[in-house]
Amino acid sequence: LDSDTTSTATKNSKPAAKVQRSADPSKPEPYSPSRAADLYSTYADDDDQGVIGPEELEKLFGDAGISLEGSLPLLLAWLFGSTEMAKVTKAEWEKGTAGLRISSLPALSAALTDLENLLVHDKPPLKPAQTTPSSKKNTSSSDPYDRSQYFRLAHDPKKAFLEFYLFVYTLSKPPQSRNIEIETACALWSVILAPRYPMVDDIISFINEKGTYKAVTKDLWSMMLEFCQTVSPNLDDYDPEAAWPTLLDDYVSTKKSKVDGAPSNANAI
Amino acid sequence: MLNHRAAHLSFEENHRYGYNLVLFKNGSLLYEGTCRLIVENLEKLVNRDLSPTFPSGSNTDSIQRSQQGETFLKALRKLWEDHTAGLQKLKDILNYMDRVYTKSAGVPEIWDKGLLLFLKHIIHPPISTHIISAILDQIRTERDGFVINRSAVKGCVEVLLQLSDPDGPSVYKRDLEPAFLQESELFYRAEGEKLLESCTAPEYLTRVENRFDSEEARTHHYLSASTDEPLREILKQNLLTPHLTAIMEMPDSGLDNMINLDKLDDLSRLYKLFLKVPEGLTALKKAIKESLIRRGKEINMSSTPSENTDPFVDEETGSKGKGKARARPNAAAQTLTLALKWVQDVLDLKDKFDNIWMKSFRSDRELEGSLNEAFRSFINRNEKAQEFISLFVDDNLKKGLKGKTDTEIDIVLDKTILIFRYLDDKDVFDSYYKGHLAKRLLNNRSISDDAERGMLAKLKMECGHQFTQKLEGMFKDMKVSADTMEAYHRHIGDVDAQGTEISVIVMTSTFWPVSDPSPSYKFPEVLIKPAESYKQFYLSRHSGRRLTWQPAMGNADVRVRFKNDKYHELNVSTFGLMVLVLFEQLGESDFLTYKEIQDAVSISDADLQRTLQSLACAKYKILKKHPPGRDVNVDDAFSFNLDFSAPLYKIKISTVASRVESTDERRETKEKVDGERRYQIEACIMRIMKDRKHMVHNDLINEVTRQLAHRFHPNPLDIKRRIEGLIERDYLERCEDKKSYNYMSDLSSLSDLR
Repeated sequence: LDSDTTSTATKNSKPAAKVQRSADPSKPEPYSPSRAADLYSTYADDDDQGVIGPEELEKLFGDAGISLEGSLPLLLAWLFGSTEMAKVTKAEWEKGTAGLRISSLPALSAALTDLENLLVHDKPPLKPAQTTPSSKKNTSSSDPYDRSQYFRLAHDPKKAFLEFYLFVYTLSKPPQSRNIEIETACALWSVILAPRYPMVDDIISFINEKGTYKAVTKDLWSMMLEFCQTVSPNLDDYDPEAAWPTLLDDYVSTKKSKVDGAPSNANAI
Repeated sequence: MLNHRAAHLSFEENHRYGYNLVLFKNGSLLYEGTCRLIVENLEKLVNRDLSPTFPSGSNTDSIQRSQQGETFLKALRKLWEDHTAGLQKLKDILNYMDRVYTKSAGVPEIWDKGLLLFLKHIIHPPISTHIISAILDQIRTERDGFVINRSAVKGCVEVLLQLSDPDGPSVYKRDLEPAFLQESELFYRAEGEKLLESCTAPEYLTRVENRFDSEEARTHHYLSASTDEPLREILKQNLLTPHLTAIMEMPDSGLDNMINLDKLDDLSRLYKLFLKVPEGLTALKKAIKESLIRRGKEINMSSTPSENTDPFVDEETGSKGKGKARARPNAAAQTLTLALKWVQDVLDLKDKFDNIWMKSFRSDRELEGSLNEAFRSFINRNEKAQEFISLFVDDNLKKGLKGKTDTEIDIVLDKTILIFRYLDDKDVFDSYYKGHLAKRLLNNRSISDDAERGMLAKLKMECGHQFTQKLEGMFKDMKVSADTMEAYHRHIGDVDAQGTEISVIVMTSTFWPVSDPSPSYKFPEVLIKPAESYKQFYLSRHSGRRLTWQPAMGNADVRVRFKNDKYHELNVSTFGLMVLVLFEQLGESDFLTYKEIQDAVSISDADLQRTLQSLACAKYKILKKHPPGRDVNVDDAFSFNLDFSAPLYKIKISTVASRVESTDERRETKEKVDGERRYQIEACIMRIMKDRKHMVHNDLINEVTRQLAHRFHPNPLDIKRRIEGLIERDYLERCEDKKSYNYMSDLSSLSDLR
């Protein structure tokens, strides 16, 4: 597991490394609030200096070599406590960068990639590097950013992921609506759940095939994670009499009726 | 003494001898001497009396053998009597010896010794073999239907019962009973199979019953009561247990046949006998349930018009013109007849089985359960059961059809309730009943208010207040409307005497089954005025209410002038009136096209076609259709039929509409019912959760199912969907454990939940 074979991980980290080299071949610059503020103003919306809008954010991600496709933008929103999708306010930025001691794009990229590996790809947490309490100030020199929050989260990744997962729902939900649209939900699931739970892809294709589902309630959203975490991939321990949402009942019964017809090990994931 | 010549002896003298002998320690001499004499006497008697009567084994003629046996048994009995008589006397004489010597010497008293000696010297092969075979012979003879000398057998059996080894079982128990039981077992095994082949089921049962009786009489009369139990067991094991199903399934005479012919006695016998064996009731329960379900299915089958009697096939094959016109109402009527017949058949079946159950099965609770299960099963298998039962009630509550008295109707309705009780989805019945009741009330067709209310009370008793709430609301609306109408007439006084007189029933929209809450229509002038007048009057009394006219549900009496100033009073639907009014100002030969009529009245095509059909294509042709024909098409034209004539002055033009639902209507009803169920499930979940505050998923599902069971059986998946909906709307929340729910009590308004 330790060997870095996952293609997504390498894909995400490579461009970041490139940027890092072009800026400073040996080491990332140390954190400074003014540099963070400079960075902010580079990307802030021309019309509204109080916010980095979607276009600017896309540019920022591009410059930092962060993929827009994966979960990294969502993790950024979570880390910075954003309240709106694809927008970072000045206050959020200041608080976020200060907390993580980030003032450069490579540092930002590193922080997000670390979290993605931990939460979305379920990789073993990084070991704290030279954690001699005396040299606390120095940790920032060996780490690209202040990893103390990372280590706090790494202490209980499951809880951290749940927090992140529920945050994503709130973030994605239009303010006037109770639910999020099924397409949005599927896109999010494929990004944040599917890497850890391959059967989510299967559920998503079931949803698309059926085509009758419209929205995902908060309950269904949280039960989906519960389903992934507690039901085994071959669905043997799924109890249709239990309190699962009907969408999952539908999925499992369709799946099982298909499997019954086909050779038995068809869904051995 | 042993030779019965004791008369010459002196009792006192002999007693004294005995006494002296014992007193002077010569007890053993006396005791043994007596014994020897007894033995000698016994041997003499055997040789003299018994041996000659030994049955010769070679005899095959049963009657002769039986007679020989009887003689032998009698001889044995006589020998016994000889022996015991002598022994009795010896016992008296040797009284002192018994008291003194036997105790100290540890030997049996002389009487007992005498019996032991009898046992030892008489009851041993070959005599004992002869005895047993002779007795069995006698029994066999009797079982085969001949008369035997029971007292001879009885005499012997008594002997055997009295004889026993010290502390051992009696000879009867030891030798005779096992042999007898074995013999019986063989006999009845063969008998069972023989009877099964040769008899009908009732005969078989009668025979078996007789066997039980005769065997009981046998043990009672000349065998021992202790044999009764094992013998009965043999009968059960051989005549009943292995043959239960075979008896019931006997072709042309089994259970079904007995039920068909209401053979109460046979059925009663069957029940009584089957009850004797543990498997009997189970087998009977199963068989009777199957029989009933099969009958029910037949009734169900006959209620669905088979494909080849489909009324619409007539269209092609039937003759043109008039023949055709009659075909459709007939078809509708036929479906109605089938519906009524179905209910009547089920009622008859219920009566039949109730009768059997009470009279033959002694109101057995377990059988009642099976019967109920069977009724429930096949009644619910008919998906139109609810509609049919409602139609049946409708038929009985409609006036002028049956000429039945209130009491008769009440009896029929009571029975109908019995069937109603078997329905799973009572809410479906409710929706039909509402429709039928509305028609009765609006068209003033109810036989009596009392009968209606009686039925309502019955439904209320079955299903509770909630079930009949809306129905009661309908009655209340009728009453209030009548009062309002009176007030309205007082209000307008005679001012409008020349105009159209109207009668309005105000129906609370949630009580009445209204298919279209805001129908499209264009009233003619003649209706607008009174309608507006009433509306003003009503709204002035009840401000804030909204009145919508439902012309589809009304009717009108209209006086129409035909040729030669002949008048007829026609009773037509409100739609009918709206159409007729259009022809009022037209000349004799003027036409109105379908399109023109449609523009004028502006009602739905289906309604208009039905209305025109009733006016132009039915029995009374007030309008002429061009071209003539049975169906109304959009390119038809119509003219007033001035030549119309009929013998009656008052004519009712009933709208062509079958009382039984069409497929489309059924679907509509189903959707309505499903929608209603959604509300009911939600309301039920909320009621439960409000009470419990917190509940585990499965408990909630079960509780909802239980609470709604008296109306319908909700699908667990539907309940789950409702729960999801309620979570979404924040009436419930899912708890941390993901398996249970909390009631969200901080919500003040539950207004959108009924």
